[in-house]
Amino acid sequence: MAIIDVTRPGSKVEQGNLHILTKSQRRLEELFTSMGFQIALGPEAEHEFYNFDALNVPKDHPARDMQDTFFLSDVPETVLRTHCTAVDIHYMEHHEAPLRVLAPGRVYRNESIDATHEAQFYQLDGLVVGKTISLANLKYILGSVVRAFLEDESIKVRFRPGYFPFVEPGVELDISCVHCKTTISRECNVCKGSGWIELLGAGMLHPNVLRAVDIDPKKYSALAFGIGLERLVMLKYGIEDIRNFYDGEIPFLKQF
Amino acid sequence: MKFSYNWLQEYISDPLPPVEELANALGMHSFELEGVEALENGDYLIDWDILPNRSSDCLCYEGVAREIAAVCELRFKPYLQDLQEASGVQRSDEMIDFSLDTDLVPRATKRYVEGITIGPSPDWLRERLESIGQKSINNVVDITNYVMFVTSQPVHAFDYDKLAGGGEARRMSIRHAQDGEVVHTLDGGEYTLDTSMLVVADAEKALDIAGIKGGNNSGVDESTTRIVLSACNYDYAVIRQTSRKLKLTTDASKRYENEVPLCKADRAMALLTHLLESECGARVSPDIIDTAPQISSEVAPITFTLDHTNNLLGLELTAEEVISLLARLEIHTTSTQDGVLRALALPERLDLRIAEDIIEEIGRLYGYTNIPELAIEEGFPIPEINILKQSWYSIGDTLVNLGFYEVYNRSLVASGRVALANALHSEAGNLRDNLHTALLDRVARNSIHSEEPKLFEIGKVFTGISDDGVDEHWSFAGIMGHQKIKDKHKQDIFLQTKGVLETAFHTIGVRNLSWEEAGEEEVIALLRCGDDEIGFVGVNYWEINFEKLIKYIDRSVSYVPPSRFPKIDRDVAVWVPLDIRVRDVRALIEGSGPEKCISTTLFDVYEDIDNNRKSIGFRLVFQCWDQTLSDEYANEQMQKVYKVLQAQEGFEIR
Repeated sequence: MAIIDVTRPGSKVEQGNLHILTKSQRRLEELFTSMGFQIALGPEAEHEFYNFDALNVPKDHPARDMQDTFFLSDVPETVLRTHCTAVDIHYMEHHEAPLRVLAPGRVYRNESIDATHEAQFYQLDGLVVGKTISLANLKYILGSVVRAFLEDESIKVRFRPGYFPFVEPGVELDISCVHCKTTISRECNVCKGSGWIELLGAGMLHPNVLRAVDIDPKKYSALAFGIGLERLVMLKYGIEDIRNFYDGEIPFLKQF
Repeated sequence: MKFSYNWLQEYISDPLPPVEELANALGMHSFELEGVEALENGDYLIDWDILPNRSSDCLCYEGVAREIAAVCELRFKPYLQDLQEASGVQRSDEMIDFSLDTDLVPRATKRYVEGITIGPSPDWLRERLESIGQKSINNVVDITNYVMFVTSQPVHAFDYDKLAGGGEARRMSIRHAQDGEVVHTLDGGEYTLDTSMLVVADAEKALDIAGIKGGNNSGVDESTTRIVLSACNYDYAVIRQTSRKLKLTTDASKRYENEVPLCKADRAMALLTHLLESECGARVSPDIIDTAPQISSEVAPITFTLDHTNNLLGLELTAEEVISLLARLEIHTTSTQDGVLRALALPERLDLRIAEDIIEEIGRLYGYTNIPELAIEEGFPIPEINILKQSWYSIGDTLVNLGFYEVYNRSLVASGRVALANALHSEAGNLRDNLHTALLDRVARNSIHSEEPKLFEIGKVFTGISDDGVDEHWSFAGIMGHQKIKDKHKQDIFLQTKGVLETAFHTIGVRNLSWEEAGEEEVIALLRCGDDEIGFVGVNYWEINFEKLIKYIDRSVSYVPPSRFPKIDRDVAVWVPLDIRVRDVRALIEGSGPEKCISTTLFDVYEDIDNNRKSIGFRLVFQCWDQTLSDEYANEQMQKVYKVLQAQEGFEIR
């Protein structure tokens, strides 16, 4: 009988890997699609109207400083989008309420690059328009998705007051610290001992925004949120530097 | 903004909760908590990030104290405003001849004060200012700063005797600066203004950069005995623009940029004069020059309904609960009938304009932590598949199994066809117009990790500007290791690349792509579907317009029942001149019309360079659906093939 050494490593089948941001988008899109969200895409170079004005951010308002924007040299009134909310606006112009839409995509901010900031990153911007949509629904959707994505049913979410020109009420969403869990540690370098991690901004769409797309705010209300993908993925895996996502190094890419 | 815990206590009648609790309470109901710092004297500095919509009323102790009162259910203690009527002081409107020479000042107030003794500030005042990191200058200047931090209304004291003119009333106005007009500021700075900017001026000269910084030609110093107090309101946009142009930001300009409520001028003026009387021996004029005394206290009521409130928040509050919550914020609410409510907020709440603003107040005070998680009851239609993303994922999965790593490269690069107006630096001044350049670079860097790194990317590229704006499209590019490729290996490596792509296309269901020679050194083949050129392939890399590619997806299936009858293979190999293409030979074979031939597959290409020829071999497979084919039948069909091939010049069947 031939002796076969079963402890030898199998013949290597060469495999690469999808980028962790692709896998994460896919998983999040799956979760949102299971809740009825339509995936929508849009241009990265946007007209200022769709990036700011339709979102209730008037021309000289200080709120426009909150997002440091890239402008294009030879194309007037055009910016590199600072969020994907613009895609939601395009979607609402072409679809009747009620609706649920998720716009994933690359966005741009004119910020110095360091371990937690890149000039381009990913956002998943979502919107639900309906007759009885409330902040409680927003909490449910975000809580469910975050728990499923981070694969931890014990994670809690909470809202704090926040401000964005396109939502009112506006909130900040925190998640319970994924590192501390049962005992909140003062040494925790993720939550600094507070037990909570700031994750994303959200709220109920401002009636001006609904009116800008011909949806009657007396009949419909809408919840809106913007998930920063890199931030969520960095929390999930403990990745220390956002630049890793864009440096294209195989030792990083193969790990996920 | 950083707030001193002890200073805040002055405006609350009841003892404040311990500092951590206070900091977190407002962090959960009002602002974002940045941190708490313990000071040496036992006081604390609480740093709350006052959000833009509350910058009008909460960049001051008065506003934040009111928030504390509302959130912690304590009593707000307004500061005292009792003034002594000093007799014998002339009226402000007799001492000052004031006019507004611009539309950009919604309200200006001025008051004449005499009997001032400039000196060091009392301890309590110095302590208050130092606790928030402000330098003490002298009693009058410190009081003006103090009043600004308490009320959010910037105030200024001009030295009356430095104003141009004598004897009769001194002229003062607020006007646009002249082009090139220079102002020397209190801190030794020099600024050249233009007509877009405002100045407070006397009959001869500008006295300050209005709304931003005082000038040193009119400021208070040791010799000052008579002053003009000024509490004005400016259009927020002009202050913002001026501040940006001059690159000058001050505590005053920050507040004006965020709109100071008109009602604050009264309160600031009252507090100001009270303090000057008690601390500096001041005697104030009986009147205040005020360009808009009525406007300040107008407040429009906001109507909202209980249903809308509960629908938006996801709660089940009663009218009584809503009314008492709002009352804590000094928003007086009355209930009409049918659940319609009318709210009257304080005039400084510039952020409360519509029903949703009131509903936000209700929600945050009630506590967002008390809002439950509720699934949406309305049903939803089944979402459509997003073809682009699905194709991305399938092609990605296929490439992964062929050994490829997906990379994400940066969009902002050194060269491209669409330039940024405000790039961070020139290495990132353009939008990328292709993906393969960055992939080539990445492959080089990764060769230390793998002998043959295989990379791909799917992302947006920006190819130019047209009438509709920027031309951007999704591109799909990939590269397979091999930094320097010898000529003799090029055909093989190209075929590997082609193999990868053919597999990828097959996975997503794209058929009928044609490969044509590009005839260039770098670009070997062009990919076309009909007339549409969709991409190119080099020896070991490719770049394809992904949006065009997915247009040609055809997943339709035409089912053919498989035959149970045996197949017959016949091979034919033919020597051809070196410049003959495989496609041409295939076309000849298929064109000769062999019947019942279900497939024609290339099995060999052999180059005999010495004899200037190559051999191309095809395998034909014959099968019939409903009967066994005979060898003779197959041979007959092959005769058709041989005949056509033999007829070609330079062809020789092996």
